[in-house]
Amino acid sequence: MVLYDDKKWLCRLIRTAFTIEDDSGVCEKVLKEKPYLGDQQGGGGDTSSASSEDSFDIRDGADLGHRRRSNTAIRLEKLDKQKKAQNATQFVRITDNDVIKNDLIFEPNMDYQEDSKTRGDHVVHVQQLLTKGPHPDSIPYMRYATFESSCHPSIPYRKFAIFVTFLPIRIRSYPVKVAVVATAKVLELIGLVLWVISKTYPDVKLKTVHQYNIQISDVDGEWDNDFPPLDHHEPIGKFSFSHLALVPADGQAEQPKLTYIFTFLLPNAGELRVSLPDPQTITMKEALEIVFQKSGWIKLTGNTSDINGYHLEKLGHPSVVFKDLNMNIGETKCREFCLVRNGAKSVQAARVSDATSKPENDMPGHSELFRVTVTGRFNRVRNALCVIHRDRMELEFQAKIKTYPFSHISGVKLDATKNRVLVSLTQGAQSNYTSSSHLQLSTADVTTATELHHRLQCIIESYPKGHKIS
Amino acid sequence: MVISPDKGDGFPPPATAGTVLPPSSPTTRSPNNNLADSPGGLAATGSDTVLATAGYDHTIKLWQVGTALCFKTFQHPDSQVNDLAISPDRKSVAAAGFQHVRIYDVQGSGQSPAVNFEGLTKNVTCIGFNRDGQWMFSGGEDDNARIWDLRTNATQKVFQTHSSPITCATLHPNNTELIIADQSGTIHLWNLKNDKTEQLIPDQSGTVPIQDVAIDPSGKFLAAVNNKGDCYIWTLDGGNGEEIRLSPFHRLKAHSRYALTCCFSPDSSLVADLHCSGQRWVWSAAFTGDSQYIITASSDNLARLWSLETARTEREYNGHQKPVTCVAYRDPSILY
Repeated sequence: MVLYDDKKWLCRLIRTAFTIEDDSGVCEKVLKEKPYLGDQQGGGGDTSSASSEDSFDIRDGADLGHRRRSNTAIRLEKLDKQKKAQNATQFVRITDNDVIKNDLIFEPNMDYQEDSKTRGDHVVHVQQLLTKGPHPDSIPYMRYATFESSCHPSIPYRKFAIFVTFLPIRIRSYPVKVAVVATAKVLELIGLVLWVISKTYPDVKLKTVHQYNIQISDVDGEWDNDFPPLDHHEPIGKFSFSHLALVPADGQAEQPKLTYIFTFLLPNAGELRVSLPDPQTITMKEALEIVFQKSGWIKLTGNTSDINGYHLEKLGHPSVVFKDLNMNIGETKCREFCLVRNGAKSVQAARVSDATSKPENDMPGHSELFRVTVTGRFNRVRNALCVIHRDRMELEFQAKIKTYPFSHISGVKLDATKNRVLVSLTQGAQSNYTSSSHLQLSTADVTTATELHHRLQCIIESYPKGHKIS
Repeated sequence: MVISPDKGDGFPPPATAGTVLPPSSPTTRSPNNNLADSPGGLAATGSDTVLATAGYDHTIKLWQVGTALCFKTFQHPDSQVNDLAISPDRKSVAAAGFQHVRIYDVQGSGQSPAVNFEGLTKNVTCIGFNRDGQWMFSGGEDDNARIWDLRTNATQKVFQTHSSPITCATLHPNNTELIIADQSGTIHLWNLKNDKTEQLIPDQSGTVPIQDVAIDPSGKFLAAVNNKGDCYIWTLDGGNGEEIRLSPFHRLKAHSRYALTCCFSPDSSLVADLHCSGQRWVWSAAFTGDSQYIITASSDNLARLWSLETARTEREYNGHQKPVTCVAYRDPSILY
């Protein structure tokens, strides 16, 4: 029986099976650095390939043992590049049968001796060029700039996105993208990245190239400490990674914390994306606290009833309700939620019901829900969600909902210049809901205002006349 | 090595190797040049100074003189570059290679040539522009020297040597005399206006290929080096509407074995010839417009800027993957 923690067996497997195809260099590095993992000290098995030095598969150098692409593919790519380049080139072919035109007039320049006397007016003093600019030796990492692929158009190159782990946090997540010639060493790639950083972020203090390592990285910038750094002396062409991380060799780099993105649909139909740490350790209540703090939906007073007044639904599935807020959010196996106030109808439920009741409408949710700004007394402005049902209009404010039956609405008027809809209320409604005779519903744009006006107008006109009080 | 052609003693007898190398003769310069305020050569490189190098790695590189940064690389596929020339307006670089001549746009964004002259049978060994940049000359191992009309991109004139590959050519500042040298050791003076030619054989002892010829910008001196290491200098009379007459001025044993290139400084005070130093060849050289520096291209993959006053390297242009065989420099003061 062979276990996967059997070093000898693993080493033999690596040597015989993986070395040829391994483009990470890790197998090769392990076998070189840990020769005891072979069969020499094991006292049994096949000892003929115990040392990496004797292996036919492991060779120092750029391409031995690694055939990344077929010769045909390389040739086709080269032909394709040449074809594209030739499009920009004018070709003039000389043949033996060309008729020599001989129509150039070689006017003698009689003033050439005078020219040499007056040329001093245009002399460029190279000394000034040398002294006014920085000396090349004072430009750090400049010699590594020569490994950038654009300097060597005819040489194969590799592109890498390299996360620089010691940059400030706000820019750390954006990798430095470099194209380096395939024959460059890892150390020269480090120098090239440092040269780019020194140009882009001159305030960042950098060390010598030997004080950094290149680690294998994921696309999100998390590098893997389980793998050794790439050997400084290895040619970069043998590695096929697309993402790498530049890490200080002293290990002072801070591993980025993995976060998970959750989406919450708020009661006013606004979406909020929150990044949370490990979802297996954070409860839904804690997640809601973060949601309320970031959205400002309600002001938390420290009273748990604030949060307990809400529950979550799985977005797209109103029937899946999460009412136990002490449950870890990871247990829901869901990343998108709809925030619902207890006792209120959720936004997505309104969309679903409208969609089912009016199948002829292409965008039922968008036509029935409008984000508006309500101007009240003393010009007090409040954001709300205007929900239009069959028999009523609801304005969902941050903490309460106001309902206006259509029987209490006498008319609507569009003020296109201010993206505003004026809703006139009956006298009975005024006494019940507001002291004003009309509501001012401002929208973000004239299209939304027009749509809201049209929707209200249609419902009011179709409403039974007997119910209207003019 | 750099010598000063200020005093002549006639050709015989030749001077020995290690001839005294006088420092450059300082000349009074006008301070009101256009580049006085350009920082670091960066802005200047775009329009005022162009430094180009090329070699065996099939690339042509343009450099900032001051910072030694390569700011553009052109592809020169299929062949090494045998010679480089920069047009007088400093907007084009012409490269001579195997069976073709290519012209690159300095201010363009692409890495490919703008014009590719092909159909030539062998190596094109030399190339150059006339003063106004309307035409170009080339010479090659097919024994032909050609005049190219850059307005129509067609061959205008052809001069044939007698079964001897052309090694070098240079244009007299009077715009009508092309001096061509070949591997038989003959120097041809080709009058472009009336197509008359004259021949000159500096070394009568045998077939000694001429490696390079150069004319000083004032049109007073002609220099040639051969592969025995001899350097010949003639004085030129006439040329200003008259027939050119050469008079032996100076002959020296510049090097013991071989000489590759010779060139005059723009102020006509210095002539440089290049050869193999140890195991590394110095293939090409160009003076700067102020005649205070010389730029060399060598087999150690580097081009270097040397101060003629201190004989020290001021800048190294590092970027080629293989030996650098050509260098060309042009600024507004270099007219020819």
